[in-house]
Amino acid sequence: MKAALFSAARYMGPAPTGWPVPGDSYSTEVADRSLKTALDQFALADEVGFDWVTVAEHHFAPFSLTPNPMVLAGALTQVVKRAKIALLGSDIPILNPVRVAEEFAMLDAMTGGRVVAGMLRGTANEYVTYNINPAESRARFAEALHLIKTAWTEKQPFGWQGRYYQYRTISIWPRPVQLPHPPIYMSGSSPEAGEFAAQNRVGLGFAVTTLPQACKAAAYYREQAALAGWEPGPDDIIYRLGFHVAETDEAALADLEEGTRGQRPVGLTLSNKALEAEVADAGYFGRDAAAQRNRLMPHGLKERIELGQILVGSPQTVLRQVRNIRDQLGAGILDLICAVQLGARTHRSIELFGSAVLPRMREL
Amino acid sequence: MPQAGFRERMVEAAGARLRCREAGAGRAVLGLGPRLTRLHELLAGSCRVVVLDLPPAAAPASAAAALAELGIERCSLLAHGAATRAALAFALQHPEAIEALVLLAPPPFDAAGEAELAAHLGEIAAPVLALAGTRDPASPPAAIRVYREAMPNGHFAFVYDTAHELDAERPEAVAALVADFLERHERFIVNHESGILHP
Repeated sequence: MKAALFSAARYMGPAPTGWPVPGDSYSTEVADRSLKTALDQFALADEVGFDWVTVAEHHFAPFSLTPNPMVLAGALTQVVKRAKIALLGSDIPILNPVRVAEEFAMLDAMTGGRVVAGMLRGTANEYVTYNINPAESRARFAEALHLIKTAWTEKQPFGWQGRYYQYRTISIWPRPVQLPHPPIYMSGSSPEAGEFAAQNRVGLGFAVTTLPQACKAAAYYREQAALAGWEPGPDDIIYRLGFHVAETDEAALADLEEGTRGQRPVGLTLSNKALEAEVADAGYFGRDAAAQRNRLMPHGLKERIELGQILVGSPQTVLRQVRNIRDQLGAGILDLICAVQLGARTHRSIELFGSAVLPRMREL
Repeated sequence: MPQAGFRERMVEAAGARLRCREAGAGRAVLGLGPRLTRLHELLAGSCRVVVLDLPPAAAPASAAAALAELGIERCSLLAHGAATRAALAFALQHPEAIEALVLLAPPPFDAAGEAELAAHLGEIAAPVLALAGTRDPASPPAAIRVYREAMPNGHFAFVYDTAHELDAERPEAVAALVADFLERHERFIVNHESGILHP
């Protein structure tokens, strides 16, 4: 079993809520400190043995200072020398697929073949970012993915006459190192995603969900994959959750409570109710809409632990929680985000995970 | 069932009577019949589209005679599937008559039986555009890539989300690309459409 360290490079200072978030209270000092913290934590993760480091894409909010994960991943190619660099993901329906193909190829070339190509539909608000109609989300995603794979693998300059994308001649340089191309993952919580991933033989990641919901989605994916004639292995499934490790369970819990005190656990999409409702009306959430919208609902701290959204405790306790996820979900990769940013204690949490939990995880 | 806007008649050529369906005006495009789809209707909006039902065995000679009968000195050829071979043969035998070739869903070259034709592809100097659907196992990437590899002015493109009948499945997408290629040949790689959303 493998572990990735994920950081959204959260802006570590006061900022208004809602979405989009105005920039008038933005501080360059706070942003500088936030980005340096993210870079330091990625370097540390690489040092202590994490298998991957992960970056993602979110726009127009202090929640993440990486609206373009490719840029941060580019910086990481020079800082992270052993771990894979995973983008989970690039929000392809709102981007230029040829550009995305080129960028992944650049990262793969710069790392000697260490990039993981996550491609996501993006959270609902991301469509507003570049003024794309969310009703076209799945159709754009399917076409963009096909175009990206073709750009990676077709060696002669080719044209693409699509519905949403049209190019007369494409021939990317550099080309990916990994053959036939970097591994692809998409976000898998909806039934539509499970079907698509199974039919297209790509991996699935589960984020902003609970262990029971992820297990249900994973079972459906496996069922659909069987119909498509293949069997996903543990490395085809990523489960994203928070973590905080300390010497003892009590210390870890106390840190967690301290670090989350006063935080309103509202995600980006729910920060703008009109946006969320409009996007829902556009059919963004698919045929299982109630469950998909429900995933975004915030939970209290105790609930989050029970629902498998956070690993918290001493290394031994955390290892037990990891084993439980392995047994129930069969995920091969845990994509871990620091549950709290408490300076030295977070640094220690990453160290402890790497030294005391990871070596035992390998055996799972 | 007569296709919208196409006038049908018989043409005398090389001792045979060939069915000919014609629509539109302007640059002459010879479609190798009997295939006639919505694509041909759309192309008739900017070209003189002539669909000729040629006898497979004597296609190049019949086509040359028919074109003379129709008073057409130069034209582009549009063919689908197996008929693309006749288009290539005509281009090799009558290079002076050809402006451009558009090949839809060509089958892969059979190494055994078609080595000769495949070997001569490089002699076709005319601009050639080969198209295939992304869901067409009968015309895989190798089957259209060859035109880029073997010809001095060969191009290929994938038509997304179509199978073998790409010109009937997504006629507007195919027509937009083909019409532009017929007009501008290799210059078609440069976008010349307005990107202005509102004045």
